[in-house]
Amino acid sequence: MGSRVLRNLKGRGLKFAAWAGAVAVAGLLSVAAVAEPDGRTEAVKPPSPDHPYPELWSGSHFAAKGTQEMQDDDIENPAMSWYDVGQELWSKREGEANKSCQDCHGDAAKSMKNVGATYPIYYAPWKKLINVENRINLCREKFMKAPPWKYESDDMLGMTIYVKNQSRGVPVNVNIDGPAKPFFEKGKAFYEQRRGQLDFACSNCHTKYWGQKIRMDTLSQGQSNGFPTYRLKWQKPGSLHRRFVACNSLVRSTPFKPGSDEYVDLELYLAWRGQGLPVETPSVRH
Amino acid sequence: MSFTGVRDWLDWDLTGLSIAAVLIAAIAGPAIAEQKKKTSCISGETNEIVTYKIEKGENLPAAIPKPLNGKRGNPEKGVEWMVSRRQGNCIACHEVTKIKEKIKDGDLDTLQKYGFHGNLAPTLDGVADRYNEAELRMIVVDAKRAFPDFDTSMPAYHRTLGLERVLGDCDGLVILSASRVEDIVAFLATLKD
Repeated sequence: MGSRVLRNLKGRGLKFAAWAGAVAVAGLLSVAAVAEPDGRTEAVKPPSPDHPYPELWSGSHFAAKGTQEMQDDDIENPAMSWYDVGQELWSKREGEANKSCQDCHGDAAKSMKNVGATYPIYYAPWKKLINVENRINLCREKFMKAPPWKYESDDMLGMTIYVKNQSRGVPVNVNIDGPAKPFFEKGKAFYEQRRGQLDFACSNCHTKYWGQKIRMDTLSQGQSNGFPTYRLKWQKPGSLHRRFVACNSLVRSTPFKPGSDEYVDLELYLAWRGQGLPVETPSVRH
Repeated sequence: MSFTGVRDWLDWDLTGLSIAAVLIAAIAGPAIAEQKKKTSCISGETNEIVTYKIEKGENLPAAIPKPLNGKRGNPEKGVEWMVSRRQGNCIACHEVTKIKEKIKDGDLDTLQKYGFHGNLAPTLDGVADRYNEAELRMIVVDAKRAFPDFDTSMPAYHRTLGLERVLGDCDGLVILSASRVEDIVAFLATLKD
């Protein structure tokens, strides 16, 4: 634990320096910069006229101001401890092949730049979709000859956050055509299927009633661009699939397994519903 | 032993029931074990479905003229089921002024219990002017049957068929028992402008 704290402090110190530098640069650039809609203060336009939403809003639009500020500040954002875990693991050699992510992919800031905005993708050798978590374990098993990580483990969350964070600010841009199409359609069907004792489909809340109150909560559009997200209720980051399990259980339906094909297909459909929203990983939600 | 079977045993432990009760369950066999299984979904009582007869309503295509359990409900109890997050949770979506009036000024407990009404469904104020008791019963039992032309999100509170992938412990059970449906209907019938 001690080393974790030390690492965090070290990581944060460096991050702070980088942040201060970025602020200075941003100050210089801001004169010329044209502000892109962020989905929080300004809605993003949907990619096509037949899109289910007339305007796209990230979950952070519906979050309290304090929660937004916590997300924006890398020192305050509690998920950044997991980012640090991922960063450290990136260059750690493991498995029989004694390889690290870095040995093949080099600098994550370059090689992972758009990954978080474009996954899930169709993976031809498996003839199905894979998401970032699937891809990480694929690399571990195939190229590192290392044991796969459990879906909701700190290592997996850390690496997923680290990888997706490299796309922070990049608009979501998933490919739903070609071989991905049938899986996209499956995800759409899942989204629209009523389920559980309460007989709700995802769309029953998130398509029709976003922005309205359900008891104490405001319904969001259920966008996925901030995942894995640090949920204050969970007191740790959670994967998108953990959120799916929670949603399915809430309507008293038997959930699927995190990492299952059903959830990965849904993940692609959901990403398309937020096509154009900037990646926020790791976001903070209540 | 199935997963739910294991859960049942855990539940026995958690509810602090005596070993004797567990032994009785073991001896008495499936009947009691089955009953236990059915309580763990709703955390209270078994919610078995009863049969009811649907007729044509005055204002709606369907109505249930007779009380589900043959008895008139208790409107005060009805309010409790309507605000309970594990039972009806009606105010999650509907505003009801008469329930808001139960919040005492500056009292967090009554605010937590009777407050925070959602607004994504129509208010229930004056609902008894719009529908008669038989229709109100139909709406609570199975709103999709009451409003066939409108893609309502409202759950069917007393129906078990036609549901997809219901959580094991809830499967085959209704959300609200017959008497609770009647309690709620009795309260709704008082909501006149």
